[in-house]
Amino acid sequence: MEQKTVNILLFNRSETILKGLYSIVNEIGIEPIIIRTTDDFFDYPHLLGYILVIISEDLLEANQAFIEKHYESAETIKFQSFSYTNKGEDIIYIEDNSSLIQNKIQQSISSFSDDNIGKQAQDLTPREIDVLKLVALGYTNKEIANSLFISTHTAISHRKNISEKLGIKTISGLTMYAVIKQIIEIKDINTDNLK
Amino acid sequence: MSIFNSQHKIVEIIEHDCDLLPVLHRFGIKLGFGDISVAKACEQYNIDPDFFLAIINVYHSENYFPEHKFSNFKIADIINYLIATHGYYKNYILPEIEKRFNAIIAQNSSHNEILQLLEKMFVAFKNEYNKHIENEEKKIFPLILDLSENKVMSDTIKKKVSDLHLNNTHSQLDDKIIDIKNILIKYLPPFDDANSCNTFAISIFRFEKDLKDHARIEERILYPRVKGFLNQSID
Repeated sequence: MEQKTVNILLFNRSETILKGLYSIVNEIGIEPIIIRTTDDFFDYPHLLGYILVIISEDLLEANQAFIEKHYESAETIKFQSFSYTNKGEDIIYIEDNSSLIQNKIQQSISSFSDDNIGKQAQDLTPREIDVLKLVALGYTNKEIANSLFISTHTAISHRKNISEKLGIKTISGLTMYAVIKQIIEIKDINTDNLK
Repeated sequence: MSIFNSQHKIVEIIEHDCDLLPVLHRFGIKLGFGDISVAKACEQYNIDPDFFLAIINVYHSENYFPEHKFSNFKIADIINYLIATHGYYKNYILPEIEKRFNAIIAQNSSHNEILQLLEKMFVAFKNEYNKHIENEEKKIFPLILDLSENKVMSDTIKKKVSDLHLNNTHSQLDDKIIDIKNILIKYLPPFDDANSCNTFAISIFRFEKDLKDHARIEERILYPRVKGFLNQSID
Protein backbone atom coordinates (compact mmCIF):
# COMPACT_ATOMS: atom_id res chain seq x y z
CA MET A 1 0.00 0.00 0.00
CA GLU A 2 1.20 3.48 -0.80
CA GLN A 3 2.66 5.57 1.99
CA LYS A 4 0.23 8.41 2.78
CA THR A 5 1.51 11.94 2.46
CA VAL A 6 1.58 14.20 5.49
CA ASN A 7 0.71 17.82 4.72
CA ILE A 8 1.41 20.45 7.33
CA LEU A 9 -0.42 23.76 7.11
CA LEU A 10 0.62 26.77 9.18
CA PHE A 11 -2.25 29.16 9.77
CA ASN A 12 -1.29 32.30 11.62
CA ARG A 13 -1.62 36.06 11.15
CA SER A 14 1.88 36.82 12.36
CA GLU A 15 4.51 36.77 9.64
CA THR A 16 7.25 36.33 12.25
CA ILE A 17 5.63 33.24 13.73
CA LEU A 18 4.94 31.81 10.28
CA LYS A 19 8.60 32.24 9.32
CA GLY A 20 9.77 30.61 12.54
CA LEU A 21 7.39 27.66 12.34
CA TYR A 22 8.20 27.26 8.65
CA SER A 23 11.88 26.72 9.31
CA ILE A 24 11.24 24.44 12.30
CA VAL A 25 8.86 22.23 10.30
CA ASN A 26 11.24 22.24 7.36
CA GLU A 27 13.92 20.67 9.56
CA ILE A 28 11.63 17.67 10.10
CA GLY A 29 11.78 17.16 6.36
CA ILE A 30 8.31 18.40 5.45
CA GLU A 31 7.78 21.60 3.51
CA PRO A 32 4.80 23.25 5.17
CA ILE A 33 2.14 25.32 3.42
CA ILE A 34 1.72 28.84 4.72
CA ILE A 35 -1.82 30.15 5.20
CA ARG A 36 -2.24 33.82 6.07
CA THR A 37 -5.95 34.26 5.45
CA THR A 38 -8.86 31.88 4.89
CA ASP A 39 -8.69 32.71 1.17
CA ASP A 40 -5.30 31.03 0.94
CA PHE A 41 -6.93 27.63 1.49
CA PHE A 42 -8.42 27.97 -1.99
CA ASP A 43 -4.89 28.00 -3.46
CA TYR A 44 -4.52 24.44 -2.15
CA PRO A 45 -7.82 22.81 -3.00
CA HIS A 46 -6.87 19.15 -3.33
CA LEU A 47 -4.80 17.96 -0.39
CA LEU A 48 -5.05 14.24 0.26
CA GLY A 49 -3.52 11.92 2.85
CA TYR A 50 -2.97 13.28 6.34
CA ILE A 51 -3.33 16.96 7.14
CA LEU A 52 -1.98 18.63 10.24
CA VAL A 53 -3.13 22.22 10.68
CA ILE A 54 -1.01 24.19 13.11
CA ILE A 55 -3.35 27.02 13.86
CA SER A 56 -3.25 30.08 16.05
CA GLU A 57 -5.65 29.36 18.94
CA ASP A 58 -7.75 32.46 18.27
CA LEU A 59 -8.42 31.24 14.70
CA LEU A 60 -9.36 27.67 15.56
CA GLU A 61 -12.98 27.99 16.55
CA ALA A 62 -14.03 30.18 13.67
CA ASN A 63 -12.23 28.07 11.01
CA GLN A 64 -12.22 24.45 12.08
CA ALA A 65 -15.52 23.50 10.46
CA PHE A 66 -14.64 25.28 7.22
CA ILE A 67 -11.22 23.58 6.99
CA GLU A 68 -12.68 20.16 7.66
CA LYS A 69 -15.26 20.69 4.93
CA HIS A 70 -12.66 22.09 2.52
CA TYR A 71 -10.48 18.99 2.88
CA GLU A 72 -13.22 16.42 3.24
CA SER A 73 -11.50 14.00 0.84
CA ALA A 74 -8.37 13.84 2.99
CA GLU A 75 -7.73 10.74 5.08
CA THR A 76 -7.49 12.49 8.48
CA ILE A 77 -7.30 16.13 9.57
CA LYS A 78 -5.81 17.12 12.89
CA PHE A 79 -5.54 20.51 14.49
CA GLN A 80 -2.68 21.56 16.72
CA SER A 81 -3.09 24.88 18.50
CA PHE A 82 -0.46 27.56 18.64
CA SER A 83 -0.87 29.57 21.81
CA TYR A 84 0.45 32.80 23.30
CA THR A 85 -0.93 32.04 26.74
CA ASN A 86 -1.45 28.32 27.35
CA LYS A 87 1.17 25.68 27.96
CA GLY A 88 0.11 22.13 27.22
CA GLU A 89 1.34 18.77 26.01
CA ASP A 90 -0.06 19.07 22.47
CA ILE A 91 -0.22 22.83 22.30
CA ILE A 92 2.67 24.71 20.77
CA TYR A 93 3.45 27.53 23.17
CA ILE A 94 5.08 30.77 22.03
CA GLU A 95 8.05 30.30 24.36
CA ASP A 96 8.75 26.63 23.44
CA ASN A 97 12.19 26.07 21.98
CA SER A 98 12.53 24.58 18.52
CA SER A 99 13.33 21.01 19.54
CA LEU A 100 10.32 20.92 21.86
CA ILE A 101 8.13 22.19 19.02
CA GLN A 102 9.57 19.55 16.72
CA ASN A 103 8.78 16.84 19.27
CA LYS A 104 5.21 18.00 19.60
CA ILE A 105 4.74 18.06 15.85
CA GLN A 106 6.41 14.65 15.42
CA GLN A 107 4.00 13.27 17.98
CA SER A 108 1.00 14.57 16.07
CA ILE A 109 2.41 13.08 12.87
CA SER A 110 3.03 9.67 14.40
CA SER A 111 -0.49 9.59 15.81
CA PHE A 112 -1.73 9.61 12.20
CA SER A 113 -0.27 6.20 11.54
CA ASP A 114 -1.45 4.81 14.91
CA ASP A 115 -4.94 5.46 13.65
CA ASN A 116 -4.28 3.28 10.64
CA ILE A 117 -2.29 0.40 12.03
CA GLY A 118 -4.73 -2.14 10.63
CA LYS A 119 -4.19 -0.87 7.12
CA GLN A 120 -0.49 -1.72 6.80
CA ALA A 121 0.60 -3.51 3.64
CA GLN A 122 0.36 -7.28 3.91
CA ASP A 123 1.31 -10.23 1.75
CA LEU A 124 -1.24 -11.60 -0.64
CA THR A 125 -3.45 -14.38 0.74
CA PRO A 126 -3.42 -17.78 -1.05
CA ARG A 127 -6.86 -16.95 -2.45
CA GLU A 128 -5.64 -13.63 -3.79
CA ILE A 129 -2.72 -15.42 -5.45
CA ASP A 130 -5.23 -17.75 -7.17
CA VAL A 131 -7.12 -14.71 -8.45
CA LEU A 132 -3.95 -12.93 -9.53
CA LYS A 133 -2.85 -15.98 -11.50
CA LEU A 134 -6.08 -16.00 -13.47
CA VAL A 135 -5.92 -12.25 -14.06
CA ALA A 136 -2.46 -12.74 -15.54
CA LEU A 137 -3.74 -15.54 -17.74
CA GLY A 138 -6.23 -13.08 -19.21
CA TYR A 139 -9.43 -14.23 -17.48
CA THR A 140 -12.31 -11.79 -17.05
CA ASN A 141 -13.87 -11.25 -13.63
CA LYS A 142 -16.74 -13.53 -14.58
CA GLU A 143 -14.40 -16.29 -15.75
CA ILE A 144 -12.38 -15.96 -12.55
CA ALA A 145 -15.55 -16.26 -10.50
CA ASN A 146 -16.62 -19.38 -12.40
CA SER A 147 -13.28 -21.18 -12.11
CA LEU A 148 -12.91 -20.47 -8.41
CA PHE A 149 -16.58 -21.08 -7.56
CA ILE A 150 -17.02 -17.62 -6.08
CA SER A 151 -19.37 -14.77 -7.01
CA THR A 152 -18.28 -12.11 -9.50
CA HIS A 153 -18.65 -9.63 -6.69
CA THR A 154 -16.14 -11.55 -4.56
CA ALA A 155 -13.75 -11.81 -7.50
CA ILE A 156 -13.88 -8.05 -8.02
CA SER A 157 -13.33 -7.46 -4.34
CA HIS A 158 -10.25 -9.74 -4.37
CA ARG A 159 -8.85 -7.80 -7.32
CA LYS A 160 -9.38 -4.53 -5.55
CA ASN A 161 -7.51 -5.79 -2.49
CA ILE A 162 -4.67 -7.13 -4.63
CA SER A 163 -4.24 -3.75 -6.34
CA GLU A 164 -4.31 -1.96 -3.04
CA LYS A 165 -1.71 -4.22 -1.46
CA LEU A 166 0.67 -4.15 -4.42
CA GLY A 167 0.16 -0.58 -5.64
CA ILE A 168 -0.50 -2.00 -9.14
CA LYS A 169 -3.79 -1.37 -10.92
CA THR A 170 -3.60 -2.37 -14.58
CA ILE A 171 -3.87 -5.89 -15.96
CA SER A 172 -0.49 -5.53 -17.64
CA GLY A 173 1.08 -4.44 -14.35
CA LEU A 174 -0.48 -7.35 -12.45
CA THR A 175 0.72 -9.75 -15.14
CA MET A 176 4.28 -8.39 -14.82
CA TYR A 177 4.12 -8.85 -11.05
CA ALA A 178 2.91 -12.44 -11.38
CA VAL A 179 5.81 -13.23 -13.72
CA ILE A 180 8.42 -11.58 -11.48
CA LYS A 181 7.15 -13.45 -8.42
CA GLN A 182 7.00 -16.69 -10.44
CA ILE A 183 3.29 -17.08 -9.80
CA ILE A 184 3.03 -17.90 -13.49
CA GLU A 185 5.58 -18.60 -16.20
CA ILE A 186 6.32 -16.22 -19.02
CA LYS A 187 5.29 -18.81 -21.60
CA ASP A 188 1.80 -19.03 -20.07
CA ILE A 189 0.88 -15.38 -20.17
CA ASN A 190 -1.31 -13.82 -22.71
CA THR A 191 1.05 -11.23 -24.24
CA ASP A 192 -1.93 -9.17 -25.29
CA ASN A 193 -2.29 -8.49 -21.58
CA LEU A 194 0.76 -6.27 -21.72
CA LYS A 195 -0.95 -3.82 -24.02
CA MET B 1 6.94 26.68 0.00
CA SER B 2 8.12 29.28 -2.37
CA ILE B 3 5.53 30.65 -4.71
CA PHE B 4 7.37 32.52 -7.45
CA ASN B 5 6.29 36.01 -8.49
CA SER B 6 7.06 38.32 -11.40
CA GLN B 7 9.94 40.00 -9.57
CA HIS B 8 11.92 36.76 -9.28
CA LYS B 9 14.77 36.29 -11.68
CA ILE B 10 14.49 33.30 -14.00
CA VAL B 11 17.88 32.16 -12.79
CA GLU B 12 16.69 32.17 -9.16
CA ILE B 13 13.73 30.02 -10.08
CA ILE B 14 15.95 27.49 -11.85
CA GLU B 15 18.45 27.40 -9.00
CA HIS B 16 15.54 26.57 -6.75
CA ASP B 17 14.03 23.91 -8.99
CA CYS B 18 15.96 22.79 -12.06
CA ASP B 19 13.11 20.45 -13.08
CA LEU B 20 11.45 23.62 -14.37
CA LEU B 21 13.94 23.92 -17.26
CA PRO B 22 11.83 21.91 -19.71
CA VAL B 23 8.77 23.91 -18.61
CA LEU B 24 10.53 27.17 -19.50
CA HIS B 25 11.48 25.67 -22.81
CA ARG B 26 7.80 25.07 -23.57
CA PHE B 27 7.36 28.83 -23.40
CA GLY B 28 10.33 29.29 -25.75
CA ILE B 29 12.70 30.44 -22.98
CA LYS B 30 16.10 28.78 -23.37
CA LEU B 31 19.28 28.60 -21.29
CA GLY B 32 21.48 31.68 -20.94
CA PHE B 33 18.93 33.68 -18.94
CA GLY B 34 21.34 36.33 -17.63
CA ASP B 35 19.67 38.28 -14.84
CA ILE B 36 16.33 38.72 -16.51
CA SER B 37 13.23 38.80 -14.26
CA VAL B 38 10.02 36.92 -14.93
CA ALA B 39 8.28 40.18 -15.82
CA LYS B 40 10.96 41.13 -18.37
CA ALA B 41 11.20 37.64 -19.83
CA CYS B 42 7.45 37.53 -20.35
CA GLU B 43 7.55 40.90 -22.07
CA GLN B 44 10.42 39.80 -24.29
CA TYR B 45 8.87 36.47 -25.27
CA ASN B 46 5.35 37.84 -25.46
CA ILE B 47 3.93 35.62 -22.73
CA ASP B 48 1.04 36.38 -20.37
CA PRO B 49 2.94 36.66 -17.05
CA ASP B 50 0.00 35.47 -14.94
CA PHE B 51 -0.33 32.36 -17.05
CA PHE B 52 3.42 31.75 -16.95
CA LEU B 53 3.53 32.08 -13.14
CA ALA B 54 0.51 29.86 -12.68
CA ILE B 55 2.12 27.12 -14.78
CA ILE B 56 5.52 27.19 -13.09
CA ASN B 57 4.08 27.48 -9.57
CA VAL B 58 1.65 24.63 -10.11
CA TYR B 59 4.49 22.55 -11.51
CA HIS B 60 6.83 23.46 -8.68
CA SER B 61 4.47 23.00 -5.71
CA GLU B 62 2.47 19.87 -6.04
CA ASN B 63 -0.35 21.10 -3.82
CA TYR B 64 -0.61 24.65 -5.09
CA PHE B 65 -3.57 24.89 -7.43
CA PRO B 66 -5.50 28.18 -7.26
CA GLU B 67 -8.28 27.26 -9.67
CA HIS B 68 -10.15 30.49 -9.03
CA LYS B 69 -7.28 32.44 -10.61
CA PHE B 70 -7.29 30.39 -13.80
CA SER B 71 -10.47 31.56 -15.44
CA ASN B 72 -8.98 34.50 -17.33
CA PHE B 73 -6.26 32.80 -19.30
CA LYS B 74 -6.53 32.80 -23.08
CA ILE B 75 -7.61 29.45 -24.42
CA ALA B 76 -5.00 29.75 -27.18
CA ASP B 77 -2.23 30.20 -24.55
CA ILE B 78 -3.31 27.10 -22.68
CA ILE B 79 -3.53 25.04 -25.84
CA ASN B 80 -0.15 26.24 -27.13
CA TYR B 81 1.43 25.26 -23.85
CA LEU B 82 -0.20 21.82 -23.93
CA ILE B 83 0.94 21.24 -27.51
CA ALA B 84 4.51 22.24 -26.60
CA THR B 85 4.35 19.74 -23.74
CA HIS B 86 3.09 17.02 -26.07
CA GLY B 87 6.01 17.74 -28.40
CA TYR B 88 8.43 17.34 -25.51
CA TYR B 89 6.96 13.95 -24.60
CA LYS B 90 6.61 12.66 -28.11
CA ASN B 91 9.87 13.82 -29.61
CA TYR B 92 12.14 13.67 -26.62
CA ILE B 93 11.06 11.96 -23.39
CA LEU B 94 9.30 8.86 -24.71
CA PRO B 95 12.03 7.98 -27.25
CA GLU B 96 14.64 8.73 -24.58
CA ILE B 97 13.05 6.34 -22.07
CA GLU B 98 12.79 3.67 -24.74
CA LYS B 99 16.49 4.12 -25.59
CA ARG B 100 17.40 3.74 -21.93
CA PHE B 101 15.27 0.60 -21.71
CA ASN B 102 17.18 -0.92 -24.61
CA ALA B 103 20.52 0.05 -23.08
CA ILE B 104 19.61 -1.61 -19.79
CA ILE B 105 18.45 -4.74 -21.55
CA ALA B 106 21.74 -4.84 -23.46
CA GLN B 107 23.82 -4.35 -20.29
CA ASN B 108 22.08 -6.81 -17.98
CA SER B 109 22.47 -10.46 -18.70
CA SER B 110 20.31 -11.58 -15.76
CA HIS B 111 16.52 -11.31 -15.75
CA ASN B 112 16.51 -10.16 -19.32
CA GLU B 113 13.17 -11.74 -20.08
CA ILE B 114 11.47 -9.71 -17.37
CA LEU B 115 12.99 -6.48 -18.61
CA GLN B 116 11.85 -7.24 -22.11
CA LEU B 117 8.31 -7.77 -20.86
CA LEU B 118 8.41 -4.50 -18.97
CA GLU B 119 9.67 -2.78 -22.09
CA LYS B 120 6.78 -4.26 -24.01
CA MET B 121 4.43 -2.74 -21.45
CA PHE B 122 6.16 0.61 -21.85
CA VAL B 123 6.00 0.52 -25.65
CA ALA B 124 2.29 -0.24 -25.42
CA PHE B 125 1.89 2.76 -23.13
CA LYS B 126 3.91 4.92 -25.53
CA ASN B 127 1.81 3.98 -28.53
CA GLU B 128 -1.40 4.59 -26.65
CA TYR B 129 -0.13 7.93 -25.36
CA ASN B 130 0.91 9.06 -28.82
CA LYS B 131 -2.54 8.19 -30.06
CA HIS B 132 -4.08 10.16 -27.21
CA ILE B 133 -1.91 13.18 -28.10
CA GLU B 134 -2.81 12.96 -31.75
CA ASN B 135 -6.51 12.78 -30.97
CA GLU B 136 -6.27 15.87 -28.76
CA GLU B 137 -4.28 17.90 -31.26
CA LYS B 138 -6.21 16.94 -34.37
CA LYS B 139 -9.73 16.72 -32.99
CA ILE B 140 -10.26 18.11 -29.52
CA PHE B 141 -8.10 21.24 -29.46
CA PRO B 142 -9.33 22.64 -32.81
CA LEU B 143 -12.91 22.19 -31.64
CA ILE B 144 -12.17 23.97 -28.38
CA LEU B 145 -10.51 26.84 -30.24
CA ASP B 146 -13.53 27.17 -32.51
CA LEU B 147 -15.74 27.16 -29.48
CA SER B 148 -13.73 29.87 -27.73
CA GLU B 149 -13.51 32.14 -30.77
CA ASN B 150 -16.99 32.01 -32.19
CA LYS B 151 -19.51 33.48 -29.88
CA VAL B 152 -22.26 32.07 -32.03
CA MET B 153 -21.85 28.38 -32.50
CA SER B 154 -23.57 25.84 -34.61
CA ASP B 155 -25.36 23.11 -32.75
CA THR B 156 -23.17 20.59 -34.54
CA ILE B 157 -20.01 21.95 -32.90
CA LYS B 158 -21.67 22.11 -29.53
CA LYS B 159 -22.83 18.55 -29.89
CA LYS B 160 -19.38 17.41 -31.00
CA VAL B 161 -17.68 18.98 -28.00
CA SER B 162 -20.13 17.69 -25.47
CA ASP B 163 -19.73 14.20 -26.95
CA LEU B 164 -15.98 14.23 -26.30
CA HIS B 165 -16.02 12.70 -22.81
CA LEU B 166 -13.20 14.94 -21.80
CA ASN B 167 -12.26 13.48 -18.46
CA ASN B 168 -11.89 9.79 -19.01
CA THR B 169 -8.66 8.88 -20.71
CA HIS B 170 -5.94 10.36 -18.51
CA SER B 171 -6.42 8.37 -15.36
CA GLN B 172 -6.16 5.05 -17.19
CA LEU B 173 -3.03 6.16 -19.01
CA ASP B 174 -1.54 7.46 -15.77
CA ASP B 175 -2.26 4.12 -14.07
CA LYS B 176 -0.06 2.40 -16.63
CA ILE B 177 2.98 4.57 -16.06
CA ILE B 178 2.47 4.44 -12.26
CA ASP B 179 2.42 0.64 -12.48
CA ILE B 180 5.64 0.62 -14.51
CA LYS B 181 7.22 2.87 -11.90
CA ASN B 182 6.07 0.74 -8.96
CA ILE B 183 7.21 -2.50 -10.59
CA LEU B 184 10.58 -0.92 -11.29
CA ILE B 185 11.20 0.34 -7.77
CA LYS B 186 9.38 -2.26 -5.70
CA TYR B 187 9.38 -5.60 -7.43
CA LEU B 188 12.15 -6.00 -10.01
CA PRO B 189 14.89 -8.45 -9.09
CA PRO B 190 18.33 -6.83 -8.59
CA PHE B 191 20.27 -6.06 -11.77
CA ASP B 192 23.94 -6.11 -12.68
CA ASP B 193 24.19 -2.45 -13.52
CA ALA B 194 22.51 -0.60 -10.66
CA ASN B 195 23.61 2.86 -11.81
CA SER B 196 21.94 2.74 -15.17
CA CYS B 197 18.82 1.26 -13.58
CA ASN B 198 18.71 4.13 -11.09
CA THR B 199 19.10 6.76 -13.81
CA PHE B 200 16.33 5.02 -15.65
CA ALA B 201 14.07 4.96 -12.58
CA ILE B 202 14.67 8.68 -12.06
CA SER B 203 13.64 9.46 -15.61
CA ILE B 204 10.41 7.48 -15.15
CA PHE B 205 9.75 9.36 -11.89
CA ARG B 206 10.18 12.74 -13.58
CA PHE B 207 8.03 11.74 -16.49
CA GLU B 208 5.25 10.52 -14.22
CA LYS B 209 5.29 13.79 -12.28
CA ASP B 210 5.24 15.78 -15.52
CA LEU B 211 2.31 13.76 -16.83
CA LYS B 212 0.34 14.27 -13.65
CA ASP B 213 0.88 18.00 -13.93
CA HIS B 214 -0.08 17.98 -17.59
CA ALA B 215 -3.30 16.08 -16.88
CA ARG B 216 -4.18 18.53 -14.11
CA ILE B 217 -3.83 21.47 -16.49
CA GLU B 218 -6.06 19.82 -19.07
CA GLU B 219 -8.66 18.53 -16.66
CA ARG B 220 -8.81 21.35 -14.16
CA ILE B 221 -8.00 24.44 -16.24
CA LEU B 222 -8.91 23.77 -19.85
CA TYR B 223 -11.92 21.46 -19.60
CA PRO B 224 -13.84 23.50 -16.99
CA ARG B 225 -13.51 26.47 -19.36
CA VAL B 226 -14.90 24.38 -22.20
CA LYS B 227 -17.83 23.37 -20.02
CA GLY B 228 -18.31 27.04 -19.19
CA PHE B 229 -18.52 27.94 -22.89
CA LEU B 230 -21.03 25.21 -23.48
CA ASN B 231 -23.23 26.35 -20.63
CA GLN B 232 -22.99 29.97 -21.78
CA SER B 233 -24.09 29.07 -25.24
CA ILE B 234 -27.13 27.27 -23.89
CA ASP B 235 -28.27 30.36 -21.95
